[in-house]
Formats: sequence, structure tokens, C-alpha cells
Amino acid sequence: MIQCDYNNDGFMDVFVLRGAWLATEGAYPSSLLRNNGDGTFTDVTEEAGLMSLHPTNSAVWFDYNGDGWLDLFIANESRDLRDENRNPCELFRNNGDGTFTDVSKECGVDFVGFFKAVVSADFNNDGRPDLFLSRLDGAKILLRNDGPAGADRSPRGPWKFTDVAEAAGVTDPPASFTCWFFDYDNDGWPDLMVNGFRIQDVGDIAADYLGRPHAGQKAHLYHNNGDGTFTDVSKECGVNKLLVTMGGNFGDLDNDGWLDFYVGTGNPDLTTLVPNRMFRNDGGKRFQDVTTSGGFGQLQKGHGIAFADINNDGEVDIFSKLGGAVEGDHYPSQLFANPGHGNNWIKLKLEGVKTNRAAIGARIKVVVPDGDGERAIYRTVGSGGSFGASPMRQEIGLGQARVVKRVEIFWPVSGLTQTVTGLEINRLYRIREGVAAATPVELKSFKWPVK
Amino acid sequence: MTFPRPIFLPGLSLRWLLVLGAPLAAAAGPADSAAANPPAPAMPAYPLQAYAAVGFTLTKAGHLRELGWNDEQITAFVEGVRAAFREKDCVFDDAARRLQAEIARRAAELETRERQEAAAAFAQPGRLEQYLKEMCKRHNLQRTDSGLCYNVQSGRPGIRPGPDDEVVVSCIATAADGKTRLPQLSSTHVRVKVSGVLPGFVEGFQMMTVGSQAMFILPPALSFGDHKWPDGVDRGTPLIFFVTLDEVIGAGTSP
Repeated sequence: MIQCDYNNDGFMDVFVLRGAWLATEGAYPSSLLRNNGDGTFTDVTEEAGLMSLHPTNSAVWFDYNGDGWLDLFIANESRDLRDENRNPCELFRNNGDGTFTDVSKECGVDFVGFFKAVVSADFNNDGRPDLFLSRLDGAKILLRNDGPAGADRSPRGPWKFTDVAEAAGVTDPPASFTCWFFDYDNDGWPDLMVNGFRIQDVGDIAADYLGRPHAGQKAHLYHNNGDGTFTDVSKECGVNKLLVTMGGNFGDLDNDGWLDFYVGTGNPDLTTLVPNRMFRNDGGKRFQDVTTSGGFGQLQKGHGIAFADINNDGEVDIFSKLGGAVEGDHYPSQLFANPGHGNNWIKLKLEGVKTNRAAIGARIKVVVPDGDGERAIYRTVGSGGSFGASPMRQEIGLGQARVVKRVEIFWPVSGLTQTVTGLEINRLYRIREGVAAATPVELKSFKWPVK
Repeated sequence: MTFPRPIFLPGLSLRWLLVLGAPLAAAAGPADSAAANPPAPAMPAYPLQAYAAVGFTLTKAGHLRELGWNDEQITAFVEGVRAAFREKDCVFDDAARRLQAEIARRAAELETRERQEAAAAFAQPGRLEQYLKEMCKRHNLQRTDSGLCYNVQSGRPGIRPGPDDEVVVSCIATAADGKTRLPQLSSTHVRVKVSGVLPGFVEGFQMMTVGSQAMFILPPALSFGDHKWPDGVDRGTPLIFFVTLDEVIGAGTSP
């Protein structure tokens, strides 16, 4: 399930994905639920032209053609490649009138494979959102958005995407699942995390804990070199581990300004009940496994993960969907309340005008003092990982900084870089594209546990 | 999941033509063969260009050009093919046997030369890394931190050997070209101690469960390294192994 504001009306809509793993039995329709703004939703799938009968668990909203309307890419699953079982990936262009047009073929992105994830980021900082596709059955696909493909250079014309995964060095692991773009080292370039999802049995995971050889497929963290290529830094960053990840997401657990991540692990059956894992980002240099110290090692099958400050106290909480596909592994979902770590924060809710209203793809740079100099903290508006969706509201840790020197926002459609100053720490601000002044918003918070 | 073994296909080489061709030539004539084996159902028709493309590919990939035949000889060769299709006889006489022997000699020379050239190329900077990258991509292999390239297909869940265990393994080895068999490095149901084998195997065997199969590519540093290399194995080249873990005998230290 992934949220967006597809009709730019200011209310967050929901897209529900169905049929994953079910192969030929998975021809369920995904659903677009329009938020009516009054606490109700209307299923508009068919009238929007999104009736898609393919097994999937991952999609991403992004404005590939820069027209200010969010388009939709769905990563579909083809477990075998016989004609009758092919479920090509789909790209739907938002027509701006509540309907969509399937442009998968004309854009050359109707890939067929056992795709389990798709995420978007502007990895080369050229202003156009790119895509990364993760699959269980082969090399990954990094689609660089090269803009209009033909004479018709309008947003409705054909669009060119080029697979640059191999040249960029992001092809592993062969069997991968969850992935996400995040700027783990705050250098302004989106990095990429790709999680492996193949083991022989749980013995591989035990071997990994014991530091012994195994054939399981590990996680890969790719550092963006800023020149169109990536470097695999999994080992030096301490994440070359066998995580067997389905769901996962990232957020700033301790408000230190560095993005941490949590992964839901295991297999749908009961043979692989292994702890979910939490990794704390240690200054953008490496990740520390804080699963045990933080109490995050839930054994039940992990699914979607979201980071969000549920009680508005400034500390990011974590919601984790648990339980597997077998009756014996039914388990309630879990909410981890964050006790706080004493750091400061700022929350930003962006509103696009020329850019899509939900501001998906807008890039944020928060500058705070750091000793005698300054420190930049980068975020991109989006729901995060490929399985599990965090809020669009950006919850940004500032460490021990007591002031915010400035916030710079890059709006991809208008190309505007907007600088906002005078913001106070530990507050939520609403910022509208092109409007110089940020609007403070009062947050109502409550204490855990709720009585 | 079936294990990928494309490099163990007979290939389209001169040697392949000879190996398959000689017994057929020595066997009964085409009329007898037809009588013993009823004709197979006709294949669906494809564009003629497709047949030409297959012939071209067979000839080129099989290095038939290396034989240096003239047009007349090529025509005669094609006539032989045509005769076989039409169930006409074509006597395999002494001249044919001598030609076959000459082809065999040239094939052996060619393969030796190619292998030696390929082996020498691994001494060039970056060539080994390029080879390993290409092989990993082609065969869906992963690499460990040590440089071992592997693809392990699951066997029965459970038992994994530890370094102090003994295992019973079967393996088929080839040179880096994937075609040249290395019988001196191949074995069937051999019992060894995990810690006593080539470094790449010490790591690789521990990844396997009983009954699993694996493809390993051992870079030189993980096979014989600076030690003496076996006769007939090109020093300093990567080696390819298909391994089946038949049994684990030992302390059962595996997780």
C-alpha cells in the first residue's frame, strides 16, 4: 500500500497492491482509493484507468515527465516467462484529469521478470526522477530518466528511460527484494540499499551470525559517487549481512541527522523465524546493529515498515506489520514508541504548486551550525522504502544544533531552489512552493502509553 | 530450479563434430538407420534465413573456417550433409578417415593454442577481474570477500560441514574456457577433510548442504596460487568446478 495525492487536491489518496506471490492465481486488481477529504474514500480504480490484474506488492509514485502530476510505476511479478504467465511492469501517465494512460510500451519499461520492488530518486541530480527495480530472478534495473524521446517533447510524448544498472555498478544481489534510496551520508546524492532475499534454509542465517561461509544473498549498500556510478560499501559500512528482508524503511531514530533503517525479515512459512533488524547510522560512516539494545528483534515474519512520529513528540516511532502467510504465524502488528534521545528536530510539510502538491521528489537541505562551520542534512520527500510507507511529512533530526541557519528546498518541476530562514527548532512548518515565509503549525502530542 | 550448466554443453567445436560424427560414420549406413529409427515428426517450417543462420553459426562457432577448405571442398562437405538428409549413402573410406584424423589434429592444435593464449591473457592487468565479472554475470554467480565466485543450489535443509568435518563430494572441473575438462581435478564420491582442500573449497564446501550442487570459480589465489600446479592445468588461470556435496562425516559443527 502506498500513498500519494494523485489529483493534487491536498488530500492523500491510497493505492493498494495485491496478488504478490500468487503467480497465476494473483490476478487481483490493485485499487486506487481517492480521499474525499471528509474522512471517506472512493474506489476510483476503474474510472482512473488503473484496472491492473497482475500480481504485485510494489509501486512508486513519481512525476517522470515533470508536468506536476504524479505518475505511477507498478513492479509486477512474472514467476515464469511463458507467454500466458507474463505480467509486464506498468507505467501509467497521469493525465491531470483523474485518469491515467498506460505508457509502459511506448516508454520501453514493460519489463518482464519476478520484480519485487521499485523505488524512485533523482540519482544523478539532473532534475528528473529515475527508477530502480529489484527482482528475485536476475540483474537489477536502474532506469535513468533521459527525458522526451521523440519530436513531441511535451509531457504527453514518448519518454526515454535507459537501463544503466551495469554501468552504474548496482546489479547485485541476484535475488533481491526490498530496496530504497536514501542519503545515508548526507552528501546530497541519493545512495541505494538493496536487500537480498535468498537462503538455502535458516542455517545460512545462523552461519552469517557466526561469521561462517554461507550461500545466502546479503544486503548491498551502494554509495552514490555523484558521477552516475555507485560504489558497493556494504562491508565497510557493516551491512553486508544476510537479512532476508521483505519490508524495510528508514528514518532518523535518534534525531542525530543521520538516517537509520529497520528491516522486516524472514519467510512466509515458519521455517525462517528470525529477528527483524535495526541498524543505527553512526555518522554516515557505518551502521551499528542495535536490534538487541533497542528491543527490535521481533521474531514473527516481518513485512511493511514505516517510520513516523505517531504521537507528535518529535521522536520518530516505528510501525511494523508482522505475521506470515501461514495460520500459525498470525501476529498483531507492532508499534515501537520512541522514548527519545535528547536531540533536536524540525518537521517540514511541503506543498507543491507547480511541483505535485504532495511534493514527492522535492529535495530538502537543512543547514545547521556545526562547531565553527555548518552541517547539511539532506532529505527527499517520499514514502521511503519499497515495502512499507512513511509519511510525506519530513521528520528531520538536528542533533544538538540549537538553531536552523536555513532550509533550502529544490522543487523539481519549477526548478526553483527556495531558501527559508528564521525557522525554530522542535517545530513543524508548512512550506509552499514559491512562498518565502514558512507557516508554523502547532502540534498536538500525547504521551505513551495511551490511556 | 535447474542448475545452469551452459558451459558443459558439447559446444559447437570441431571436436564435437568429430566425436559425434565418427561413431555415426562407423555405424550402419543411412538406410539401415532409417529402418531402425522411424523418421521423427517434421519440424515446423521456419524462414529459410533461419536455417542459413544456424549453418553460419555452426560453421563460425565451430571454427570450420580454420580448416582452410576451398569452395570445391566446402561444396563437397555440404553435399555430404545433403546426402544424409536424403538418406543417400556416402562411403566413409580411407581418405575420409585420413581427413577426419587431420581435422582432429588441427582441432587439438587449435584448442591448445586457444587455451594457452587465454591462459597467458590472465597475466595481463585487469583481465582476471574482467573474466570473473563476466562469468558472474553470465552464470548468476555471487562473490565472497575472498573472491570466490559461487552459485549454490539448495539441497536438503540442515547439515552443513564445518572446517573440521570430512565430506564426500563429487566434482567436475574445467579450465577457464568452461569447455576443456580437467579430469585430474575431477572426482566422484571422494572423501576429504574440509580444511585440507583448496582454499576456495574450504570456503565453498561450508556453504553447501547435503545434496546441494554448486558452481564455483576459483581465482588462482584460491586454488594452487604459488604452489605447483598439476600437469595439464594452466598455471595462474581461474578454474571452474561443479560440485555435489554427497555426505558430511564429522563432528556436525554446522549451525
